[in-house]
Amino acid sequence: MDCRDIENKIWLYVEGDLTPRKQSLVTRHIASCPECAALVETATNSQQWLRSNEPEPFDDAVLDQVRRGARQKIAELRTSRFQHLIEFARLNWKPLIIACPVTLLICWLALHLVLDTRPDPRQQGQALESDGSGRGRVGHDVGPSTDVTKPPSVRYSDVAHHRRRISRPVHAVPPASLANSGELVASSDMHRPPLRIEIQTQDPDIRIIWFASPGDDSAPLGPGK
Amino acid sequence: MPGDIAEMTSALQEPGLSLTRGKSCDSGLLQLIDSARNGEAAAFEEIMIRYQRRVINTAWRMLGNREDAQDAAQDVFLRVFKYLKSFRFSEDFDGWLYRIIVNACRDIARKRPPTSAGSCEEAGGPDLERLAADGGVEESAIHSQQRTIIAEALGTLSRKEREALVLRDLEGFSTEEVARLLGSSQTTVRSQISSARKKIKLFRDRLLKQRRG
Repeated sequence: MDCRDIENKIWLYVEGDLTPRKQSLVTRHIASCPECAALVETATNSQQWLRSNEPEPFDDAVLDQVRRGARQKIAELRTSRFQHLIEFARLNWKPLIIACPVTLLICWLALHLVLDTRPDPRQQGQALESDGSGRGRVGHDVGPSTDVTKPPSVRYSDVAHHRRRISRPVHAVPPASLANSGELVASSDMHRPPLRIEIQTQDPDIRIIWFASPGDDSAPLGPGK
Repeated sequence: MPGDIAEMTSALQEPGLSLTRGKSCDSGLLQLIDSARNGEAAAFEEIMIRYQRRVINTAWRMLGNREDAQDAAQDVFLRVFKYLKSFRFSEDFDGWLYRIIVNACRDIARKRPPTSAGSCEEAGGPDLERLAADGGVEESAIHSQQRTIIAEALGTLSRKEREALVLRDLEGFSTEEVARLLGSSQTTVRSQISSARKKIKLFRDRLLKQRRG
């Protein structure tokens, strides 16, 4: 390491910013080179002079003022969050007048869509009521795993309050076809053909069929498969 | 003579002069930070009281102006309040705070017109004459004069050189810490502080020359 290298490294050497190896190389060099040693001395003096710099005296009044200013800025920051909203509303009241009802309408539609597609919790194990001709009634638990569908002539007891998913229509078979099928089991009113109700479960192989006498409000006459 | 120099350089590197800050926060400070994060105004006030001198002095050294230093200090505490929730307890609070100070000072320096800092050679002449002529004033004014001279000397540095020098030589961070605080490499920081020290020495030499002349 020659004097030129030392000159470049002096400013890091005096504060110990060189690697230990380079630091020791410079130390060894200045021990044998009076010129470089003088440079190091000057640099060291300069650094000591810089370090003698006392911080600017800020008295307590100034520091209080700083803290007060900071607190004020913090308070402004807190209020400005709400002020931004108010200012935004003030500047954009016309679009907001349109946007608010439209947003409400969209929310209302979305809510209804969600309710329409949601399966009815009462659907399972719910007694069915059929009025086929306005009088027939079927009461039967279709079981927890079945998805009961509703024919146009069949309604749930609380249909006015609940919407439900309709997967497949159930047919109210015309009474005339039943009379010919010979499947009629019983009827309290033989002059009028019984009501047949078919309910398709989720399982395509299982279909529940009820025969109900139009004049009878009791339990179904018999399920079929 | 080399022996004396070795002593002097080692004196410069003593812990008292070359400060190395503690990495972890004390438990009292952590409690204060936690309380301040939960919205306790008294805790935040206590943090401000603890750090106000350090913040304003560093800002003054970086900016060289009292008013700017006050503005920067207010800005620093505002940022501390704003970002205190993002402070991680595993982090060194001093380092985190100094990063905020550096950024706040940069913003203030950017806003103000470039007058004192930056171009050193042009501004150096008349100021040096004035400062040199002021020699031999009363004892009470000596420190003030010394501060003014060093402020002038720091004013001859570029912004980056000044940041690096203030943090390394006056605030006592290691080169590695300075690099982390300034978001640059250690090599860059070494180059900046080497150049800055050389400029300070040149300024001092000119000042001494004019006083003697």
